[in-house]
Amino acid sequence: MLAIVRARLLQAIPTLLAVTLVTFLLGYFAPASPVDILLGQHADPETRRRLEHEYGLDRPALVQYGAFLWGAVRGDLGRSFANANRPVTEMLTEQFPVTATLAVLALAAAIACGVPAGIAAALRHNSLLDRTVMAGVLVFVCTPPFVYAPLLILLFSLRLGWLPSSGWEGPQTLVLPIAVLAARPAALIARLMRSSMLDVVRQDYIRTAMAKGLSRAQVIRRHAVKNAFLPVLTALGSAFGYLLTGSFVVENIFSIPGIGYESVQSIRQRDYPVIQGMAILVAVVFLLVNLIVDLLYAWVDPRVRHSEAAR
Amino acid sequence: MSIAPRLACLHAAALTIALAAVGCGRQPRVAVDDTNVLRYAMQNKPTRLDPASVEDGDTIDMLMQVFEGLVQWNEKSEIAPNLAERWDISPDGRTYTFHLKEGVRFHNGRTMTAEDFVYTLTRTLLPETKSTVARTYLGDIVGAEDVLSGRTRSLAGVKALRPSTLEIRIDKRRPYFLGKLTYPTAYVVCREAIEKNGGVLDDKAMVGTGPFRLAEYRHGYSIRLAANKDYHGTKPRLTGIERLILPDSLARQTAYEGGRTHITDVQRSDLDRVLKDPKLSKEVREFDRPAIWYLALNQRAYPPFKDRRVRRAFAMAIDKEAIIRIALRGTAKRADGIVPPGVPGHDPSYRGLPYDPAKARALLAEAGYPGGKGLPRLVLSFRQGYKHIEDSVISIRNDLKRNLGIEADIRQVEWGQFLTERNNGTMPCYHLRWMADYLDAQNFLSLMLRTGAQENSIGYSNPRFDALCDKADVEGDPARRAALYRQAERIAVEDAPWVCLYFQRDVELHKPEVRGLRDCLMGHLPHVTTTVKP
Repeated sequence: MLAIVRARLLQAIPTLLAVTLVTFLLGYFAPASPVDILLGQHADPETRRRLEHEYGLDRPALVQYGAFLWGAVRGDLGRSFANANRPVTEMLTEQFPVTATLAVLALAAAIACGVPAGIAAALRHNSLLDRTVMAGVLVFVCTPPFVYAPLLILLFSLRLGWLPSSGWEGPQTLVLPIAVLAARPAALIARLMRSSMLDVVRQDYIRTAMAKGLSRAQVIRRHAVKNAFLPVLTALGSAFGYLLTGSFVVENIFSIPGIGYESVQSIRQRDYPVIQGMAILVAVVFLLVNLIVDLLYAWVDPRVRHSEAAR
Repeated sequence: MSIAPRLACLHAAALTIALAAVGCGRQPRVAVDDTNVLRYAMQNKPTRLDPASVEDGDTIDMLMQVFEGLVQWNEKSEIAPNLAERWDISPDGRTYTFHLKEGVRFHNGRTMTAEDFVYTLTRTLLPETKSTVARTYLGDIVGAEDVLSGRTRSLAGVKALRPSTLEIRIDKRRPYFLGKLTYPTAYVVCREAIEKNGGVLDDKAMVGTGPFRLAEYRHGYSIRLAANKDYHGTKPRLTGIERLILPDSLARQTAYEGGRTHITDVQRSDLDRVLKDPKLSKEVREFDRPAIWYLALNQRAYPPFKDRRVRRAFAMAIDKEAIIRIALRGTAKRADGIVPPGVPGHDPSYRGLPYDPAKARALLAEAGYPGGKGLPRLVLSFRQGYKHIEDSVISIRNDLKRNLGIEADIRQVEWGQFLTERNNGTMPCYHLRWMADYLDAQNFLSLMLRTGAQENSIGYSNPRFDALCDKADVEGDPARRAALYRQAERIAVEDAPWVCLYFQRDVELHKPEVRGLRDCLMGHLPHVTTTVKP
């Protein structure tokens, strides 16, 4: 296990460096300066020059990138241009919990809906229920969230008035964003769970358990579900990645102040320190989630553990 | 552990995190009595809470409840006393002596004096404040450039003569200077609060003299203000103000219709539905704003625009009424001139260049481009993300094709890139708005179109226009000044460096319980008389 952790952490260093470099270069070569946006229509060249100097944007690219890296190593990601000089780390620590909460709750909702739906569809293979579940899966896999989010807002907020359409201030405000974010992973989990269950129930050990006199419910609960869930477990890593990136859309539609919303704002304002901070944060989260998935793999499947240890 | 208990654990953990995250920071710093709280949304989170560098209208609207300046706009859109009870202007128009209201206290209880204004104005200009607007609004003060450039930390043109008397000297007579002092850059701030906060004015140092004080700022969520019971002027009738931060227009609309807010903006695309709704249609309010939308014809990037006849042909080929009717659902006023209605210097009798496709075609042919033949391919650029802007530009493109035979491409440009290209003067033709910094014709004519003016990146130059503007800018008599600007405006409209399209009107929905709200051309005024008690 330790070997896996060590190997993955070493691999993370060049990945993070690449992320910072690409993000920096994209910002550096973007067609507008953050100072232009800060100044708006008051295009005063003297103020522009002064502000570029104050923000260090008149320094050579290499110096700017080096200063950013040196700061990042010491845990200082700089200060936002557009947000009243706020430290980027302060913004991240404030916004990341919102996005993480949204992603974790959506993941829980996706599991809670997808797993039973997949099991039910597999157990009633080729029935009306199976076909209905699979039709629903197809709809949610194919439809992007920005299509059904406004429809849900129109129905539940505007027409019925049951749920607020925006904000992050209580359990009621969580319902619509979580539903929108969880829909696609729930559909994917249901599909995976169904096919996995169909495989498992045809295995010899299930037949053996039945032959030993266990009831169908006991066999399903104790043996089939547990084994069928393993492929789903390994797919959760990529699902979490989808949820983090999906939050960019959902947070903007529902006015939720997480990193997705902040990233879009920062890109619009060319707020380089915040964009770089967000990119690093998302990269670190992805790397950690992948590491956790690798560890889970190793924990579940001893062959992986042993092959890593043998390297 | 089997799968089901694991899932239960996952759910429980997630819910705990969620409730902790959602519930954190809910205790306001100052208690607000909820009985009479005005709620309306901000379209973006406030980027700066420092009056020295604020730029967006939403944040200005919030800051002017907390901070105040020497003067303010009143409901007639005139300059009115605020922290200055009265003022004297020297005969040469260069020295302003303000007599401050006695006994005004900051929210922390300390008495405000003239020294606070010396500190405020100097601080706004200091390089470390990084103000984007200091030069625009305070650059006329003697010594301002020295402070801006970091040569000195003392502003020569501002002096506290007595605790209640402030003197400001400016470089030359500028009859619009008081208008500049209505902007937040001149709102008095509390020195000790800022110094205690490490020199930064953010939510931890928002101490002003205004009718409301900051009660709670939840970054990205909302801002709550509580009435200042010790306010020196008319005591606010509201107990507080809550500004939810809702960037999405659909979210703002549903928040209003669901009763979470009392006031909201209305998207042009939603206006038909609102006007057909028996309840909502009664809640529609319209407000004139000092803003002109225009089509800039850039002579530097598109040589045919150097020919006055080509520019006039464009101006006479565009059906402004159709744009207003179709793209803006009737919520704008046709712009015949440049200075918007209500701004001193506006000429209500002037009709500008008429919509006359036949004459436009003749002018274009006379310039050597019959039926648009021989003109280089033209691109109409506009700001990305606004349906009504896109619809307006499509209407313009169709008019150019139908009336002049010109095939133009349209191009949506992201705002940052748009600003850069505009400032560099590389866009041949673009659709844009100019909103007044202060209510004066100088802000629309001299600042925008005078030869070499900072905002004139389209290469327009007419010595007669320049001479009239120069004369008007320093003229002390308001009537003579207005007359000079009207002459200058007619020259510019006839020359058509811009096609003046329409003057802005804002459309809002107000709940019936909102009463006493005061408005001027620049926007809603501080909510001292507003109430939302049913």
